[in-house]
Amino acid sequence: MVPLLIVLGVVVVVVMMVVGMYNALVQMRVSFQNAWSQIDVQLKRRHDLIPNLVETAKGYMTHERGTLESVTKARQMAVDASSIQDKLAAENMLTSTLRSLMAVAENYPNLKADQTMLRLQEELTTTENKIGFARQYYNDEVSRYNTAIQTFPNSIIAGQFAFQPAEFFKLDDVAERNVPQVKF
Amino acid sequence: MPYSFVEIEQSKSRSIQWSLAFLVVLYVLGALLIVWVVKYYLFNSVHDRFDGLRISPLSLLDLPTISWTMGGALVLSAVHWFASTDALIDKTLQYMSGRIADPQKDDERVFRNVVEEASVATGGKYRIEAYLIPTAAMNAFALQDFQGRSVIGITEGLLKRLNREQLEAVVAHEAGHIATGDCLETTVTSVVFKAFDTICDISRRMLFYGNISGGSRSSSRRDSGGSFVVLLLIVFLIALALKFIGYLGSLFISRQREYRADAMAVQLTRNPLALAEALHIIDQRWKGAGIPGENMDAIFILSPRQSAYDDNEDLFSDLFSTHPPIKKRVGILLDMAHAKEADLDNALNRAKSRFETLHPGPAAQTSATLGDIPAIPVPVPLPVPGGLGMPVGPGNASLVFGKPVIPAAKDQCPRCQSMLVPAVYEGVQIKKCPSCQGALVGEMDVLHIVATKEVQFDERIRDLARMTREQVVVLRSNPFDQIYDQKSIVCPSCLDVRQKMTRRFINPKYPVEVDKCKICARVWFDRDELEILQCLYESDQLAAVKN
Repeated sequence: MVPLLIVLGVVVVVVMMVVGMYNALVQMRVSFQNAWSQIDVQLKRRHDLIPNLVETAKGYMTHERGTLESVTKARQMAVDASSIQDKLAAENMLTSTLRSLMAVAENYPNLKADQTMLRLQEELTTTENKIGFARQYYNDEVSRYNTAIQTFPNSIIAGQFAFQPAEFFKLDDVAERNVPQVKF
Repeated sequence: MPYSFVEIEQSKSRSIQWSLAFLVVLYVLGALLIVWVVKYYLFNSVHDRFDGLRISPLSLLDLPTISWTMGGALVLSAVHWFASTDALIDKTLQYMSGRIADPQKDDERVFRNVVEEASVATGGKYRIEAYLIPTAAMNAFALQDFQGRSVIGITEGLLKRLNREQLEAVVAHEAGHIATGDCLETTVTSVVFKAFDTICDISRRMLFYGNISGGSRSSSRRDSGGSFVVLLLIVFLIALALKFIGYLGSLFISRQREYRADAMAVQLTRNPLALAEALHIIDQRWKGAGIPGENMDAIFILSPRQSAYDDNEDLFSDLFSTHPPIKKRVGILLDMAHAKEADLDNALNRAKSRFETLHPGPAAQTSATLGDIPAIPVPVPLPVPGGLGMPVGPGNASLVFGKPVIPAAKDQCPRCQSMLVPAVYEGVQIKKCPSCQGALVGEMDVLHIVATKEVQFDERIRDLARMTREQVVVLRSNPFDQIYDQKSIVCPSCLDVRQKMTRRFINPKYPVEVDKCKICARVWFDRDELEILQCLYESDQLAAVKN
């Protein structure tokens, strides 16, 4: 009788532990998915800003049709992208075309002084920053989740219930945000 | 690093429990003391009259007395606690006459955006509101209440003097306070213990001025009998004790949290230099001593009141100061940036150009402002002896940041070590710094510049001037802090290290901050200050003509 009770007790404890770990993993998964949706909101906002930006720039930049078109095209690709892989590629593409647009805009003093342009530029800056911060947060959450599902004993549970490692939101351009320089 | 919110929650509730416990103990002890003294006095006065009976003082505190007193004290402290923590954000903001940032104005919209960015950076866990305090002083603060409502506030004077990256750094610092949870504890502690300070303030004004709002000393009140004065004096002494107790509140606030918030700001913005620049800019100016809210100094990024403790690191300073030494903070930030002096110069120059993006000037249509006057040659900055090229550690960093530069040669800018260049402004010969836009002007020349009306001012200067004007009212009601003669920088003309210039308001009617040399009477204006003074004077003239 006593051994039976002990076995029963052990089983109950193990089941409770498994349930606890499983729930913790689910919580982490929800949390990084939620962080992804935060990025999505900001990306969408950037997509909405671009047509206005291109429209305003068109009035001044008569000789830069190519740059403007590449921005529009990159935007369309980003909007159409569905899988995370495609999305990352398209967004990186969009970021770099936008940057070249801004670089070209430097040559048009009238455009730079335009009130609408100034406002759009500020909106774009803040959106880019928000994307950056949201990305930072998302990556933090992903690394927490990935660490959790790969460390023992969570790894057993993760293997049993098919918790897949999540992907980081990487940037092509490492110098994207000015990382503090290390000099010796 | 994901913020471990569980740990944060635990540590913050613990610290708040401490200050609640402290408050209760304070009330109980205070009440016991008062009851005991009153009882002893009454007993003696009664028995003196009838039988001269004496009693051991301690036996007056019997069990019923103690329990009644303690019960009363508990109720009182509960009332105090709930009264001060209820709607604390709204009350505090109202006390400081804060208003929500207006999305219709360009710079205020940028501020809102930056605050939203910070809110995104914390994973959207906090909805942070952006508030402005209408004053020309320069400071920023964060507030949080038990419901999780968070506010980041900045004074208009600071908003108008920072570029976007510096603003981001300041807001990220405040967001760091919110995310690590120490914002809640400083807010609650400040609000709870501020009550004592406020009582002290009011009684002080009644004592010296005969009315709460300050204003001029009324002579009729002084003649109204000695008993009134004695009463006020007693109130004042009690209030002084209370003020000391309120001061103890800062015991619960660690200086370390400022370092942590700085680190958090760097983690978010990846830009330690911008934060160092912002701290430097704030440190050099009037941080808001004398405005409502100054007694809650723990919530601000730099303490509004200058205190001797702030620059030291001994145990006593650690206990009683809410902020670490500015030099050390800036030194740590510069170390993070691995900044060299040359980088720093570049950074400051970059900062200057970026300033225009946040505050776009009125383009070319108006005549030149102080920043635009063509400098007469001397474009190559002279080499600084022992300076350039040396790595900037915390020690060397203070050459530029944290404490005033000691000019090595005549006419070297006391702020940034560039060479001052002669220039003509409003028909007057002045010396101007090409990099930080400061100006050295002779005393008489100031009058001349102010009286000349050639230059037009943009909206930013007019806003700053308007705020400076409104400041006069506030400062008048706070006589102790009105003028401060603080030793500041070495005069670039006299180069006398012992007779430094003093930082002060140029005159009580126009509270514009300047540095004045006692020897040659020259006046050093930092960026914008001369223009604000001119703008104030002109609008006065205009008003006089109209009447």
